[in-house]
Amino acid sequence: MKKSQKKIPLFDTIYQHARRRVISFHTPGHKNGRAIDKRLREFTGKNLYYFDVTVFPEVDSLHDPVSAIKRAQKLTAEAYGVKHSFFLVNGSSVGNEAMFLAACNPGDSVILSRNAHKSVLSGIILSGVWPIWIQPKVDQNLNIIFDSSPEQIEQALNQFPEAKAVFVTSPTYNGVTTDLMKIIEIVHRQGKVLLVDEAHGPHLKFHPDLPISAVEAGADLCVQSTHKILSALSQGSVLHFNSELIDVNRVRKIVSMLQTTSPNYLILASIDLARRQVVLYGEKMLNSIIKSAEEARRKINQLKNFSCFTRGEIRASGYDLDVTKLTINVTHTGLSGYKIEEILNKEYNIQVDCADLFNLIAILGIGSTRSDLEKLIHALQKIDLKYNGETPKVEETLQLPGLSTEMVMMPRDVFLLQKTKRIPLRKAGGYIAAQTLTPYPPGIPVLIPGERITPEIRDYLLELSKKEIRVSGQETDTLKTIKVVV
Amino acid sequence: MMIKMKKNKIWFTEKFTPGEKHSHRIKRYLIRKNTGLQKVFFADTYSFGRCLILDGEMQSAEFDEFIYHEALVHPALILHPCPKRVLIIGGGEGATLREVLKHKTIEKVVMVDIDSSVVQFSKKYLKKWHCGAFNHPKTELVIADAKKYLENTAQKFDCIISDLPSPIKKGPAYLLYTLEFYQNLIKKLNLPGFFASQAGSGNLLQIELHSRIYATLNRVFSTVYPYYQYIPSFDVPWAFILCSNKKISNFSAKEIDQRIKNRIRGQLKFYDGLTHQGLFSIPKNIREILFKEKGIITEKNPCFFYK
Repeated sequence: MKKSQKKIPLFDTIYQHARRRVISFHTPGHKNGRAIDKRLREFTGKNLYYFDVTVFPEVDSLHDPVSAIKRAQKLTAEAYGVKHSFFLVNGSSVGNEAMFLAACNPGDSVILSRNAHKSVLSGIILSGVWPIWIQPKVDQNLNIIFDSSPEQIEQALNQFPEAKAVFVTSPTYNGVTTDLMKIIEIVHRQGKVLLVDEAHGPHLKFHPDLPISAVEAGADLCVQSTHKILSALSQGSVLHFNSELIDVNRVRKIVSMLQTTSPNYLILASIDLARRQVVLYGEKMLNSIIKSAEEARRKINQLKNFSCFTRGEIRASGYDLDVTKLTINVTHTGLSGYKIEEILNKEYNIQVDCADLFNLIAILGIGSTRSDLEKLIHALQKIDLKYNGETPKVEETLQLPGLSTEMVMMPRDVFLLQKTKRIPLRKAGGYIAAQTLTPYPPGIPVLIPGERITPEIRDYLLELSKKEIRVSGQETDTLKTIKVVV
Repeated sequence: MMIKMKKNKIWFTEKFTPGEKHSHRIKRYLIRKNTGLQKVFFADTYSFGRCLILDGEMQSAEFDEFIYHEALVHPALILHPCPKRVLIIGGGEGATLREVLKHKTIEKVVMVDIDSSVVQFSKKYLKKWHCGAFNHPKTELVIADAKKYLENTAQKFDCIISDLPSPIKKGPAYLLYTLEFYQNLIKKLNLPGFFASQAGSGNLLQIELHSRIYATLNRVFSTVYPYYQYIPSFDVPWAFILCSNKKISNFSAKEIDQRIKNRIRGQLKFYDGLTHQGLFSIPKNIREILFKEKGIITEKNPCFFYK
């Protein structure tokens, strides 16, 4: 590790500026915090707001970095072993959009799994690509969805050799990673580009007991949400460029187009600080977090009605697991994950990252402590005793309809069309969908704009509309009507 | 695995004995991951260039891997009358494969390694080792436990080469250094069939593993010839053992050179007729150690290398 990794050029620059208490005739309007609402200013302390500056030469520019930001980005690239790193202030969402726009031209095809994040669909619409969907595999025992396997990708590439790129989400929300080394070999062998949404994995490279990171595998472009696990503030993410096939200048331009010209310097500085922290102290910090996580996992698995799948179980399926993510299965309590989340919040002062019908996801970060986990375990133990077999086990299982979909129009073309209308669901057979419909469970879109509504899909949705299943993308209260292309 | 940072300098330390350690300064590391089978470390060192280190043991270094791989492969293949089918056990880096493929008589090489991560990392980071050998039409790469592979295969080979890391507790390799393993292996050799194996450290303080491997192989094969070569990045004379189910003829340096000329594509950097003579000229004290050793390695009584 170079001595230079100890430096935090962006933070230092802004800090030095802040200490000078410079008189502001630049944005933002609160002017170094003076006009920030008293309640907020008293809570946070006033020093914070001196960091909130705008672009001027002393603090460098995100869109055309020449000094502090340039150095900070360079150090980040070195830390991750990539050619270039771009700081992002709109989270991995903007990173995903940037990857599509940078790697593909309108009309290109991209192979990806259907359980991609919302921002991925945005990227598809903005870039005008043809998505080639891989139906994700589901583990019915663990109630989780896997992203594409190397075999699925190879098969898709054989079927669609004209595809330009492969897009993978790894780790998934549950911390499950796919075999990126195998995938890279398959993808690069055919001269294609690998794009990875590694939002949940900015820490993976820095500990040997965590799965292989996309940067280690050599992905062409990969986005990481530094803020999700490491100590950057929310929205602080990084796009890593490490490609022989893509032009870095195009990436630079796209990133610049998608980002604000008024980036928050506190976020940017926090990315710089997070990078230094993980390089210098990451292994030690992650060591204790991994240990605590594994211990928590063991304790949860000793409870009667809760369980938490292990790395061994995931590895047996050919995937790998970031053990700092605890997917806590609650089906045996008889309550839904949503209910348990509520109980944890109201009665135990604990907030998990998300919940669905079957699971809770508790995400550990670099700031998590052993005592946090002890409190979580304690709460689960109490809940375990209280709701012991009182109510029946949740009957729903995570099932994917074996529906084949046919994309007949590019999502972007659907989006740009003026002519769409709402029609009753029962009459929708044969039309082209103009909206996404994602029932939870399983949280995988049944319909994506541009896909034909086959009789099978229509019938499936009609079934769903009778149940009380939450369907996102509906835009109306019930599932009686659906928006289609005219 | 001992990797420590002192004043911004990263050092990898290899333990030799409880009283001796060797450290290499790391310029940068490429991969540091526990694959579930072994602890994998690919790094660039100041002293020996790029290295692969598994479970804290140096496996190959850019600077001198040619010495190790030529010494492992060529004596067996040159001494064999006409090696056509070769099996490599381990050899994740792909360099053993590279050396085998230099022989014109080769029709097929099967390489069986248990850790697909090591192979994949090697394909990516050790291009100078494999030089594309993984993609050669004569290569068949199998990711599997070589012990199980050999038990289940109906194939027979002219030469089997074992290029495994040292046996350590809970490591992936220790069962492949046993009497039972060798007894099964010899059944998968043609007649004449050669088995060449890396056989532990020839350093007097570490030599117990080697002498026990020697004793074990002596129980199985009619001809067992140990040989040694100092490898700078290991900093010890490394031991190899060449075995056969038939008598191995003696060749002069000139005859070896002629065979190399006829059979090998490209240039060798380490091995030739004169080198061959040197390799098999074992010092008196080593011969005595080998002669005295009675300890056979079995599955019930495995041998673990100190690391």
